[in-house]
Formats: sequence, structure tokens, C-alpha cells
Amino acid sequence: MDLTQLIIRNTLRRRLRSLLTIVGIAVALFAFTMIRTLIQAWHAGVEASAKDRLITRNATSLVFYLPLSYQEKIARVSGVERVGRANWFGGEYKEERFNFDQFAIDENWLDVYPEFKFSPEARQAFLEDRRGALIGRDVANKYQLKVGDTVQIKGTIFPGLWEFTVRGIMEGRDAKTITRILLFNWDYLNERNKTELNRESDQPGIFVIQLKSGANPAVVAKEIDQLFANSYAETLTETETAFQQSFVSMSGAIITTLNVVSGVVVLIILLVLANTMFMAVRERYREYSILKAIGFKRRQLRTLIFGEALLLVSGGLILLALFLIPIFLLPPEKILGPLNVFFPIFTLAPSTILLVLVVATVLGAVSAAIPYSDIARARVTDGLRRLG
Amino acid sequence: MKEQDLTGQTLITVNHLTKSYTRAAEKLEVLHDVSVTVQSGEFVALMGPSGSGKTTLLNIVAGLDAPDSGEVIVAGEKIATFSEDQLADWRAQNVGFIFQFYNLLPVLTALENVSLPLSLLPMSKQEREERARFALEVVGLADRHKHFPAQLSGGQEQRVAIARAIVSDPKILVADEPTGDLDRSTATDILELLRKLNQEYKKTILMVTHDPAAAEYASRRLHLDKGRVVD
Repeated sequence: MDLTQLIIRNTLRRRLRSLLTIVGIAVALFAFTMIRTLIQAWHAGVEASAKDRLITRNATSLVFYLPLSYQEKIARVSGVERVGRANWFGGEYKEERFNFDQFAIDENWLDVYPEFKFSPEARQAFLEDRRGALIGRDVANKYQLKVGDTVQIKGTIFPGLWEFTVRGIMEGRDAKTITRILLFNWDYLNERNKTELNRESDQPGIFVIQLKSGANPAVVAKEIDQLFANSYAETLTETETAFQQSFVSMSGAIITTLNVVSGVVVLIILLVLANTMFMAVRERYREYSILKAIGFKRRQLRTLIFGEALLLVSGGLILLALFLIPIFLLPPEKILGPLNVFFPIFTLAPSTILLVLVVATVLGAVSAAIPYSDIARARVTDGLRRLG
Repeated sequence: MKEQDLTGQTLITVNHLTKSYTRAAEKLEVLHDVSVTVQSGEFVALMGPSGSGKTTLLNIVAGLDAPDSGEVIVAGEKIATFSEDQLADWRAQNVGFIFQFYNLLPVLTALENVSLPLSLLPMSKQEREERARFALEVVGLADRHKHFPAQLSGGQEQRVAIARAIVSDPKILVADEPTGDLDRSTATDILELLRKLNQEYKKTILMVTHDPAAAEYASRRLHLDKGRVVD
């Protein structure tokens, strides 16, 4: 008989209670994992962004554009390697509003975003066809699109029916690259703005800036903004990460709510586990006193009590894995349904797994700490006196 | 289990021991200037009315409780100066405990209960099992080694508890009302077993009892009253 066997026997002593505790832990950890994954998905854009890439936008608001002439001036700022331009298009495909992002871009944009991989032939075909489009792998797969197909998008910000021909399919450099995207020529947008829509032309929404190696993003950003200070269209330049973060911040209340809910879930796990451990140790108070009497030290009792809590937590984690594995083997659209549009990357991140393991272990230890401290502090003779 | 050949040497010396408890702000003196010596190989019955201090004396000698003042020397060691961990080690090696209500762990078989104290000592699993089997043989329960406590009678449980007490070959066995929960016939069997451990295996036994018939099995009887040894 060693301590490990005794821990296992103690845990199995009240099998129904242990089973219910394990199921309770697993269900609560499942909720915690899904919430953390959702929060992670919310930040996917931020994670995919580059800290050494700058975005310049109108300082007043994103809904205001910038003069095209800024592009050349920004390109002359020291530390700037390349400047591209883009406009958010925001159209509907097949009457769905948020099915994928669409951007009007210039050639430089393609070089500023090397994480989108496509063949030189596709690039050439795209640039030569004013109505050409490059689509991401996710879009191609979801809508069964291939090179040469026609895509009709209904403009919402830029009204009308916009027709594009797929000239290439872009793969993501890694799993973080969101390929739910369609790119088309900025000149096509500008031309229709001018000729059909009677909108102001030569107005990019943002400039995307690739920095020279070793350039300080903060210094370059400040220099760009100073360049246009006191003009009618002042700029706000920030890293792409900060730019993406500002979108996430707009959902601050939702994320805060999710964080609070995940905190409540953690509390529930603690209560479930602490209740079981408290009852188990209380029932065995006299046994622990006997163990002390025959020579067991505090550290051995600690091993018994903490071991039991961690064994219950381990059971919960194994059951959790059995819940999660089949779910995360499914593609995100099967897991999230229509919500997948908002969370194109919905995967169980290693950091989430690590967080769940740490939370579970810490909660196991905390739930054992209070009953253990009772046992550790109790005098053997007091325990024996309770024997009758 | 070794037969100890120290009969006649002083094993336990208690000098001017006092012990009091505070209950509801009132100080209650349980032992008052108690001095006792026990020779190795003795079987001593501690008798006295409830509240006379006999269990407290037993607990102090067994290293479960500390005196307020006085000296306790067991096998040449002043145990009152030991730290909590030192006392735990000392108890594991030197004292076997027998309780009124047996106090076996219900999730362990008889053999596992007996081998439990050995898990604290440096020895192989095989050696632990051999010694536990031998201890069960000594108490006459070798054939019940796979039984759980719930599958044993009260007398059998107490025998397993005695096997647990002797398995680490301690110098002293302390028994607090070991027959208090048993019928007369079974109690007699247990007392015969204790006598056998005392006479054949030369175990020094300190037994607290109210029962004069049980005390008859001891080689010496110490009477306590109001915290003092009266004879």
C-alpha cells in the first residue's frame, strides 16, 4: 500500500459523488474553454496583424477618407519602404452582409501583405484585368469558386452591382492568416466612383505602410502625422496591431461580459470541487488523526488531500478532452453556424489549453488547501477524542 | 518481529509531569506532578475513573501530546523536546497504537491496513507485504488478509488493528480501552493476544482500562485519581 493507491481508493470511496464532481468540473471547464476560445477568436485580427506595419487613416474617423496625394508624401518619409492604399468595400455576396471582407487595393498593397500567397501568374492576371479579383482560400472553398469564375457583389457603401472575375486564389502563410477576403483593383473602384457614382474620387480609406528594416514604428508614425498636421485631413498613424485592437475595443462591453462569465465559471468549478473536498476530508477527519498518530507527517497528509483533489481535476480534464476533441475536429462553420462569419478563426489555441490546465490545477490546489489546513492544524489528541 | 531482550531495563521514565487544559477560560489540571517508570517488557494497566488523567498520560508517553512541565524519557530519548516531524518519525518507529474502536481504513484490506505504517519506513514492497502477513499470522488472521474491515467482526477488526500496531516492531504498544467495544468472550481473546505479545515477544504494553478483569492481564496496575498516581 502506498500513498498513490490510498489516494485512488479514497477518491473512489464515494463513487457517485466523485463522478458527479468530475462531470461538474468537465462541464464547467468546457464552458470556460469555449468562452476563452471565443474571446481568442475576437482577437484573431489583432494576432494576425503585424507590429511593424503601419496604418494611416483620417484622424477624425475611419469614415472619412484621405487624399490620394498623401501616398507619395508618405513614401518619402524616412523609414518607409513601401506604401499601399486600400478602401473597405463592404458589399453583399449572395445577399449575405458579412460573408467575407472585400477591399479595393493597389499593387503595393500586395507587397505590404506577404502573408497572402499566390502565383506570379495570378498576380499578373489580376493587375492586367481591371475587374479582376483575388480571393482567399476560405472564400474559394466556401462558395466553390475557381479561377475564371465571375463574382457579383452588391455594393452597400458604393452602391450598384459590382462584377469581378476571379484571377487567383490566395493561400494563407500560416493558420493565423485570415483568408476570408476578396481583393480587387483600387483603380476600378476609383473609376466607377468618378464616372457612375458621382462620388469624390482619388480618396483612399487607409494607407498601409511597410517599414524599412530597423525603422522605429513610433518615430515613423509620428513623422507621418506631423507631415499632415493642421491640414484639412489630418492623419492618425498607428501600428496595424493597434489599429486592429481599436476594432476589438469597440466590442469592449461584450468582451468584458465574456470575461466576467468565464470568471463566474471558474468560481463554479471551485465551489463544486471545494464542496466535495470539504465533505470528503470532514468525513475522514478521524482517519487522518489515526494516520497522524501512527507517524504520518503533514507532507504525507498534504499529498493525500491535494492528490485526491488533483485526481478529481484530472478526471474532469480527461472528460473535457473527450468533449472537445470531436468538436474541434469540425470546421469552424459547423461549430458556430451563422456566427462563423464573425469568427473566421475559431480553433483551440495552445495558450487556451495551457490556461485551462493552469486554472484547473490551481483550483484543485485551492479546493484542497482549506480542508488540508484544518487537518494540519488539528492536534492528534483532539482528533482521537472525536473517536468516541 | 524480533523478541526484545531488554527485560528489566527502564524503558519509560516520567518525572514530575504536569498537564492542564483550558476549557471555557477555566484552567483544568489533568496531571499533577506525576512520576512513573516502566521497565522494558512490562504490561502496565492504567486505571482510574473518568477524568483521572490516564488517557492524557498515555498520550504524552506515546508522543501524541506534550506536557506543560516535567520530563518524559523513552528509551533514553527526551521526547518532549522533539519537533512535530521528529515525533511523527519517533512514533512510527517506536509506538504501536491500539484504539477502542479499531479505526481501520475501510477502503483498505486487512493486509493493506496492516502494512500502512510500513509505508513510512524505508523498505521494499515485498518486505512490507511479508511483514504484514507475518503480523496477521501472529494475531491469527492470516486467512483474512483480503477482507475489508466491513467484512470482519469487531474482534477480528481489533486483531487487525493489533497487527497494524506490531507490524513495525515498536518498542511500546499503547492500548486505550482495547476491549471497550467488545463482548466478554472476544475481549478475553484480545487480552490473551496482548498477553502473548507481552510474554512471547517481550512487548512493553501500556493499557488504559476501566475494566478490572482486563487489568488482571497486566503485570502491574497503576491507579490514577484527579491527576495523581495513587498506587
